[in-house]
Amino acid sequence: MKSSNKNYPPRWIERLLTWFHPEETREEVLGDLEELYAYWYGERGSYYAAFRYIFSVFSVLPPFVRRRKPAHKYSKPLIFHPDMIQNYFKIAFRNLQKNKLYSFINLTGLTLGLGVAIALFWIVRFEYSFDNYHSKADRIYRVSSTDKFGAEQSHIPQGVIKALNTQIPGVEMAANLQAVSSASIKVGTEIFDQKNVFFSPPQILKILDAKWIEGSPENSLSAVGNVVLDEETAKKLFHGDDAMHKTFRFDNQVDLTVSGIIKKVPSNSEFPFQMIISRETWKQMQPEFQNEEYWGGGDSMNQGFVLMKEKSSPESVNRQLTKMVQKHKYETIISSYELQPISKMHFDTYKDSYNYSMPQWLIYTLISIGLFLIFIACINFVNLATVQAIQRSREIAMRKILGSGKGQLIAQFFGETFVLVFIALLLGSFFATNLIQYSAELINTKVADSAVWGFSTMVFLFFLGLVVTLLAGIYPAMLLTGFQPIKALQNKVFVPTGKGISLRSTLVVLQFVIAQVLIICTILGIKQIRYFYEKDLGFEKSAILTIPMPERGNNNLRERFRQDLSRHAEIKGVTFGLTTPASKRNHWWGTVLNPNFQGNEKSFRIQHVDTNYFSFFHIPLLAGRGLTSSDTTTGMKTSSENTDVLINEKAARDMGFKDPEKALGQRLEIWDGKATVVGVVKNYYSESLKGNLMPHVFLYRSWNFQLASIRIDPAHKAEAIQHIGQDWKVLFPNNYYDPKFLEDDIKSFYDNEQKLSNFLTLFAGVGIIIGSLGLFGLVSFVVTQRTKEIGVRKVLGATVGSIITLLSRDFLAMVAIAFVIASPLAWYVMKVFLSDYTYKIDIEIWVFAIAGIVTIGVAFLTVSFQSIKAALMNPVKSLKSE
Amino acid sequence: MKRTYLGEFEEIVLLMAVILDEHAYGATINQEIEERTGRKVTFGTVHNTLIRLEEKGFLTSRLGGATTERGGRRKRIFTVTALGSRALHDIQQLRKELWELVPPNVIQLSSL
Repeated sequence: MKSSNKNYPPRWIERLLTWFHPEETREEVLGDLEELYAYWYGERGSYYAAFRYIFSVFSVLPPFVRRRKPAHKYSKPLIFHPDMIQNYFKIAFRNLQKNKLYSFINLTGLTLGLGVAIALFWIVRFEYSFDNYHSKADRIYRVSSTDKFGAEQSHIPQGVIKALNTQIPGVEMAANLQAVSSASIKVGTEIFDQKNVFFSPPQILKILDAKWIEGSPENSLSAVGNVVLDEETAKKLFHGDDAMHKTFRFDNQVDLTVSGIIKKVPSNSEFPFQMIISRETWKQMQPEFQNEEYWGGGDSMNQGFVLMKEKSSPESVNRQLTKMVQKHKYETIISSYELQPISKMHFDTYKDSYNYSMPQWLIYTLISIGLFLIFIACINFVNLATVQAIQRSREIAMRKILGSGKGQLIAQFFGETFVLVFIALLLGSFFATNLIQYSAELINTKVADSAVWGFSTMVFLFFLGLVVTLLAGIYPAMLLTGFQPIKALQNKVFVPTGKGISLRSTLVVLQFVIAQVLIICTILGIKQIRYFYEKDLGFEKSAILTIPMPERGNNNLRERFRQDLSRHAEIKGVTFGLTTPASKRNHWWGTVLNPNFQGNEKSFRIQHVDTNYFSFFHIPLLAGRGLTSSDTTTGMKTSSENTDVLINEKAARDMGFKDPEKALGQRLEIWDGKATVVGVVKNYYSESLKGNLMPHVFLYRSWNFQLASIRIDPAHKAEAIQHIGQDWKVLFPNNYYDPKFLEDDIKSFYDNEQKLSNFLTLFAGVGIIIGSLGLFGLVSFVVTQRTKEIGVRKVLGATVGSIITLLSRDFLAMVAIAFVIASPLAWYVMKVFLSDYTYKIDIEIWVFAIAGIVTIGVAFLTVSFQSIKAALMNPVKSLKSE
Repeated sequence: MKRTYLGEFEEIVLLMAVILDEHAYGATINQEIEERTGRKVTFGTVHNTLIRLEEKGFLTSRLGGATTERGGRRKRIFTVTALGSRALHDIQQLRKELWELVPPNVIQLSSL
């Protein structure tokens, strides 16, 4: 071979080859070409050799060169080789064990976050599952209506149902369903209080599904006196005996015979049938319901349901019904009708619900809080994983040197994350199973009665695990596998700390923003509720017991009850009325005519009151006189027809009288009856403070005193309740004695708000715990990293205080920044939230100050726990260890 | 008969690898082809052909030990496989058979 060491090919072209020629064949090609160069050189000299060399080099550069396939004899290691997977798990568990503190923090954070998320998932799934179990669910509609004032009304008169059944095409069937909130049931000598009582024609149970154990809609609900019970109620009333064909007395009015038994209705139903009485019975009890032609007014618990024929559209029904109602416009205040799909019914909060309604915004709030909590738990994980990276860097370098590919390492880290997430999921679902039992305290839901575990939960857990693993694992996996082995082994890897805005500080700030927003919202929410509770409603509400009155219209019995009660020293007073001044249900509304109103008419709240009603409730009379028992209607249906009535201040103002005296003597027309105003009482809040003041008219109507209110001596509550019970038994032996405190009733107006604030408190708590755990982990990491520095500083004379400051400053600054971001955010959220309320608190600065102090305080405690420990450490120890 | 098609240049490269035996690597094959056939070949063509022949299973290769020559770079020594020598034999056999079918006076070897 004519090779010459002196004759080298041009270096630049060689470099080109080095850069661009495929790696696998680079060495041999370089060698071959150098040999050939020498050969060509010997053959024809340097120019020729250089020319051929350059030409050859280009011939082996891409795209001309053929790539050598990697040799087959090296078996490619499987990323998911069973031995490797075993190894990953082993290492994962060892790591968890080695860094107990970090594992604990990660696990706690993830468990809390995931647990709450799982519970929220159950709630949301439950609420969305309402009434989807009916076999014809896609064809079932609720009839909803809007009155001429734009308010949604729930009641559906029989005329509408008759029209739907007979005149409107596309409707398979339509029917009314009437509910009463409670009734007294007497079986033999035993008296029960029965809730969820319905009056229904057979059609309703053909539209809606029920599991019949005995009987059928047609056979069990057609005749007067028929009643269908659910299994549970049957068991309760008849103590486990076969209930079929047994009879009981209903509200001391009618005897009913059990003609059918159904299985307990699922808890995700707007129709909690416990007792279904045939509508024929209802018609007999309330003869006005025999009229199938009327279109106006009605009880809001008398609602309408429609089963459409297949493939017919509800729109045309809406149009036809709305057109029909125009013909009845003197009879009704309703201006339009609309069929509401049964799937939407549960989320309609304007309707009067047989069960309960779920506001859509609350569902969205739940979902976003769940996402937030998962998110901040993931942030912890990412932060701690990043700071642990340095410890792991040598392991990774070693793995890389031993032949681990990047994919393999990523798989390993995801595996580790997954192990942790999996444990957290297990613990979290355990936590969630417990939490869900208390869900009714947190929001208005009955999810606790339903079975939460099931296929969809498994699917959800699987996806939750996957998503959280990805979210939490991706950044650490990328960061860790990106290390250069050589640097890692030389200890040159460092995770950027302190300077600039690092990802970690951003995440910590974000965590605390979320926690602080939740805290501020919680405090303001609780304040608003306290405001509701404590606001003077314009009447005296303390120490008042209420009992629904049986035997309505029996004046003798009522007066005897009053007299009997007055004998006891513990009872300070008794009055009767349709309702108490503020009540949740049984609101009677009527259109009142008077030329002074805008448009000559106004919607009034109608209240039937006893003569001592206002003095009993300490509602002052502003003008005129109070009512007397002789103020009943006189001269019925003649030109001299008159009833003396009282109105409230608001009504007087609506007539344009600033001075209530001027309203005296005004003539009103109420429900076709003519009345004269003889007195004006001061305004009081008759509904929850979420609404506005309404005009009221007060009439003396002893036939409609539905509720007895009894003022008792607060020092002797128990005796008073007992005395009333004894008197009750003597006078009303067939009725259930169910006294309630008015204050509890008024508090229940704000159940939703109260629950929401419980809910927010929980989440603010979880949020700040997770955040603080993360902070704790970060600080302890920084402390370990800077042990030597602290030692040197102490040796050089730094004080404990200065070291604590050094360690805590950055973290507290982050929390402070979070506060600056959170405050306006929370302010805006609460502004929007409170804008729904007429009577509301001001958003005051001190609330923000408290939230700031609390979070900064918690953060400071967390940080100082570690930093004080570090600052007090003996420098000799920290400097000696290597 | 089913066999892998061997192109003309491939055949030459393969033959050359057989001829050079222990010394068959990119540079020598290139050199020998130029010397024996007198035609100028591009190194890239030889390189690519060798890789292709190896992929087809006619050749195997191993990296030789490091030498002091050519900057200490290793050579890739090519060895013909059983499949490779079989293919060469097949081609020769085919040619032979075909030549025997050529009528005696059609091609005057001397006139070439």
